[in-house]
Amino acid sequence: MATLTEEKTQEKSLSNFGRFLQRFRKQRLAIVALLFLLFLLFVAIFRDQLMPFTKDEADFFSTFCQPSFVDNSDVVTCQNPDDHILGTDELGRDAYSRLIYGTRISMQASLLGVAIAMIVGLPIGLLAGFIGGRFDRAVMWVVDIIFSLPGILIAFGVIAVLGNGLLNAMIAVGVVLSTRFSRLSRGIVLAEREELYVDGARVGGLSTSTIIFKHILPNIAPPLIVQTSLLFGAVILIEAGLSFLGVGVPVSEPSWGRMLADSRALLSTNPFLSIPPGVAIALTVLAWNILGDGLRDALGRDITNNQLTTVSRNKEDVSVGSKTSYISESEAAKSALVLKNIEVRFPSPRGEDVMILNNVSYSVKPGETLGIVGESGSGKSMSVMASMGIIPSPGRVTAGTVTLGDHTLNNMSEGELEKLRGNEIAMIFQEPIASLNPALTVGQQLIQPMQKHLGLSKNEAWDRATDLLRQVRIPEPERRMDEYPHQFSGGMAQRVGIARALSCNPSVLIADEPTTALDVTVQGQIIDLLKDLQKDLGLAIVFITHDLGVIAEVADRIAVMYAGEVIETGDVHTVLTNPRHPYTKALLETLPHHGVDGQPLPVIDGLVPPPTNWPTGCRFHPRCQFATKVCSNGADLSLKQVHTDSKTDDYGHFSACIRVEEIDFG
Amino acid sequence: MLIVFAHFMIRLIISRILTTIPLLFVVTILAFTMVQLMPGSIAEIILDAGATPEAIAALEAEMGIDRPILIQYFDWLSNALQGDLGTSLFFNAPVTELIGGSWKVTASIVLGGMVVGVTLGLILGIVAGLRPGSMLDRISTVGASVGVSLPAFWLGMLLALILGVRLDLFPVIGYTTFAESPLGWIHSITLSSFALGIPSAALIARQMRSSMANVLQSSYIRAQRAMGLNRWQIVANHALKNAMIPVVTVIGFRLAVVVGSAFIVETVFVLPGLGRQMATAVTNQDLIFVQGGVVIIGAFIIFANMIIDIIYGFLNPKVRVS
Repeated sequence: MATLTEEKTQEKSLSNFGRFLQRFRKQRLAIVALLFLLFLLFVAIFRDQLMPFTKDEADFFSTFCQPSFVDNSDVVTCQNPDDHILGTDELGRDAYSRLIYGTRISMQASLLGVAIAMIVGLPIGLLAGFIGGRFDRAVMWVVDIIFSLPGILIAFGVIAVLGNGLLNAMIAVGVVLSTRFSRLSRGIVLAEREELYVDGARVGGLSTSTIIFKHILPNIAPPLIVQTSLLFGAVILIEAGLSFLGVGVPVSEPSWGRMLADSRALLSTNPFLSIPPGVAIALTVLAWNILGDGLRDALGRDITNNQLTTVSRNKEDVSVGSKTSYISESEAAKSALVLKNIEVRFPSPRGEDVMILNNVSYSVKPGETLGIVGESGSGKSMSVMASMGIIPSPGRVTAGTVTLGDHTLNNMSEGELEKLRGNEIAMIFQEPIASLNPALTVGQQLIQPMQKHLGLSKNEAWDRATDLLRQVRIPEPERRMDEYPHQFSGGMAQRVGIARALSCNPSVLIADEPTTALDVTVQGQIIDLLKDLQKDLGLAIVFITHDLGVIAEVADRIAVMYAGEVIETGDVHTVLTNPRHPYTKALLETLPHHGVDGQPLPVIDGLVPPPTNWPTGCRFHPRCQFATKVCSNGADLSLKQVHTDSKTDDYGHFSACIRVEEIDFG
Repeated sequence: MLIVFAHFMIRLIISRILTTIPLLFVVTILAFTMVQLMPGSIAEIILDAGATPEAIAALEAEMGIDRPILIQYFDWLSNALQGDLGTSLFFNAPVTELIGGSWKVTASIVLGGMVVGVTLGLILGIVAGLRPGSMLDRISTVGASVGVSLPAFWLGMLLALILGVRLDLFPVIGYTTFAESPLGWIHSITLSSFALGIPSAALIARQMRSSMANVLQSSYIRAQRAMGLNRWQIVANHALKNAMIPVVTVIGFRLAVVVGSAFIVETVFVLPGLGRQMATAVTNQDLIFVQGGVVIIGAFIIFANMIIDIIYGFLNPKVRVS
């Protein structure tokens, strides 16, 4: 996930339009569609030059002609088949010429229909959204009713009143489709209204119209463009349908829909006549739709990754234990979870392989809490996902080993991993409510893993789940079992998350920023609960956070991560009071209690670099106040035991800083 | 647990029925206003161009259309509620009688089209959404784009040409009622059902795909995976229900489109349905019939949406509780 944020920040450096163009250029299909539509526009404009015959010119010696590329010799009524590429109808009228004629009608009709829809629909939606209140509700209520009725029905009504004719038909279509613009623009105005800058603009004394034109229109432009493109397709379909029925465009005008209606009668004698107009309609609509989709993809977000798929580890790809790790054999033997030299790579949008985690190692013993700290984008969450084998595709583990109790997770099948997840290692998440299924009651989702891992019956699992809720101190657990996640507060939902994680008696609990989204008092309660449960159950906990205050409270040992690497690790007290890496030192200096009254809080200058752009040598050196030339070279960046004056602990204290012995950390 | 659930559902159903009644009013107002908006009056249409102003005034008085508009509306509404939507100007018969004879044909192919559309659409959408970016996904996405772009009536003509005229598998024209022969009924609506269903299936598949793909990105899916549930348990128990929520809305919208397309497809297969009557009435400016048609179809759509809303509430607990 960290990588995505970084991609975004990087993309922001381009202008919005530049980024859009760059992404649109990759939509080859959409570009083809755009070219096709431009071609149609050309045909529509130069219609009269392109038509070999006029629309009503009857070649009485060439009736019922098949297209000229098939054998016409047995069609006795057709004497000049070569003049008529797409054949002729019962009067000898040239299908090709009529198709070209219809192109302009189709283009005119769609432009007119969309323009009317926009002129009618946009102001209604903008006003409703902007005025709000009762006006908004009343207007949108009527708009929604019209929107829900079949478009043809409304068009029937309008044409019945106004009479036949292309303009009337397109007014009808425009009225029908205007509701889409109203709904769209109103929704966006409502969203934008919430934005601070509109309030700011209002306070600044700008008029409503200025706000609409300067602030809201630029924001609704992208979805509007997409919607307009899709609407063109819809208008063409409705126009064709109306023409087909003989309602709207006069019967004498060969629009594509009218040509189809005429060919209906000749379906058994000259079936080919129904092909060109049908293909023309379908292709034009398709082109508008593809263009709309392409625009949407260029303007929107990507959905091709999901939480279900993991790229399985390629055995040759993974080098195991080629590097040494700071974790000793005896330490590893005592640990419940050991990560050794884990490397994770993601393909970037530009196709190159980007290393997200580099040589990450840590371990945690039963009853112990390992705190992992770092800024966002440092790879904290990625490392724990690697330990569960749930790195979202297309990312993958390319080196290292994960050991969970007696199990080595390398090269395990998905099925084998599933038996361990929940059962041996479980996880609680940063956003407790989002981590619960909104469509199921809490009880319904708690019982499934127990039925699977513990082999409990539904009733047994239900009882155990109720007990677990009691254990995590949720009042009235019997009633809460039947409630949905959105009925829980964040703190209560996190307790449910903890109950779920502990339901199958795991030995390792991963807590991925479990208190970040909660307010401070609730934060304390959740931490106390976790500590108590750890004492009772002997859990090994990996606690991820960017909050050093929280870490000091929960952790026995910490690992500090920066840019996909562990840069310092050791006993929590030692590291926090006696940091031996400039990054840890800088992090500690940003804590509020280091602040001096009247002075801004100290911050670390610069940002964590994105994985695509990691500096050579020590990745922290561009932001490091102690950096020298040697830091940007590929010197020894592995974790080295630090000899400090303070009492050495069980684990030892390790730092990746090259200059660790030279710097005065004061 | 069940009692609580039943209680929620009953409350939901009652509240939906209550919100539906004003919607029906709006449709009757729309239909009534439509006739008022026409330039000139009904009497002029009935009496043709040569009528004297006196004759027109006399007929207007006879029809009651010289009275205040509100009285006219409530008069018309009370008649409509008793099943009298007036006499068609063109067909020269009571509107309710005419629609009584034709609605079943339209309803049959709309039903057939929705069955085809929903079944095909859901299957394709789920399969594609599970593995976005895969070969199968690409094929079905392209198929869906093409399907959405096909005019139902042209598709109907192609089906008629290939499966009807060439292979002689299904009748190309005409309608057999269910009472005459259930099998014949299915036979007579198969082609039109597919003509209506394929574009709908494409649209539903697209929505289902993106909805499924979105749901699979959510945090609770990762949480279930972290609990060791396998792919199919997660999809069946966790993803499907959530992914269906936006799709149900689309199915509701689609129903209106299918009704509209059915009007045109009826013409392709020469089915004696409501749509053909409406088209004839529109070309002949038979406002009374069009008005009646708008009321009946509008009411049908509103009731159908009410049912969709209830299903939506059933799937989405957030709606149900508030």
